Amino acid sequence: MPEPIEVPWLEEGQIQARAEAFLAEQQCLDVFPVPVELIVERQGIDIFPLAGLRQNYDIDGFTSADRKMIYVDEWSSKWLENRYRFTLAHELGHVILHGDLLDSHSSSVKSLEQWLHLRQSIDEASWRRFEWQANYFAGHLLVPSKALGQQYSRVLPGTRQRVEEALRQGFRKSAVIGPAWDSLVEEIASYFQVSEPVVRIRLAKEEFSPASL
Amino acid sequence: MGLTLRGFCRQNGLDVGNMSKIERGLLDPPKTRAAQDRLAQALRLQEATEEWREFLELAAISAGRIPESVMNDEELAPKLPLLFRAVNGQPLTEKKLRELAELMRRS
Repeated sequence: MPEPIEVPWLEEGQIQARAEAFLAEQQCLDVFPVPVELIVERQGIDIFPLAGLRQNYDIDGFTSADRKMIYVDEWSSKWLENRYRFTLAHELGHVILHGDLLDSHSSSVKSLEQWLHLRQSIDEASWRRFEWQANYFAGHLLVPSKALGQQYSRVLPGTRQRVEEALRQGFRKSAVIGPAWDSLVEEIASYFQVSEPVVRIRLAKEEFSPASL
Repeated sequence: MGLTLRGFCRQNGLDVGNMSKIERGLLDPPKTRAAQDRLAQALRLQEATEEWREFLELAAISAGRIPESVMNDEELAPKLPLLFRAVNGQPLTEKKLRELAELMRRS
């Protein structure tokens, strides 16, 4: 039977560095939105839409053990562009961060039963750590720190201006800041073609907050 | 052409899943001449050129082949993933894993 998998510990800075180095290799450090679909296909990985993946299995996507295919939920790939892009970036995260480790275990799998045994040897805490690392990678791949800082600086003056205007008109600050921050997040999310929660997480990580308004 | 497969299919009204299967030899290429012409045009092949003729020849050869549409265990094993991006953040049960493996076997 295959050996159980031990998940590596990776620090945030290490994952960020891997994501940025990968973008640089792909000559995409300054290309936004990051052409993640093209990058995936450039790695020789096919993207295959599977109908019902989300509805029947609660899954957005996964990568085949041989790293030749990324399977994605068909519906999401058609209608949830931002989520689809994040799924591809997340799967690239597994390929870049965990590919060799997973390979070393998958290569001994020769049957469905062996696969089930190996899959179930990954306990929930380990699985969550794998997933957190891939998500962190995806966040930095699609929204790199430097570009996020630039976009934040671009959008901030206009947002502040709108806040000041509202305050002059007599609105309470507490009523103005929330919608102004939402609008800033929306504009940045649209630039990077990611969902707003991704931008909120990335902004918080870079220590940009509504307090700066 | 500088397009991803999905971009190519969207531009030309083709199904991504089917095109991916044709590329991987899991599905017959179109058999009718009209459908082959449509694909050749989508690929921007010029009619009556060497490339165009080669494309039609290859399509005809491939159309005569019976593709393997169902993988056996040995073929399936290298495809089976160990990690999934779950919508609700919950791991899959053994029953769901078995179902998913069967779905992949036919995809």
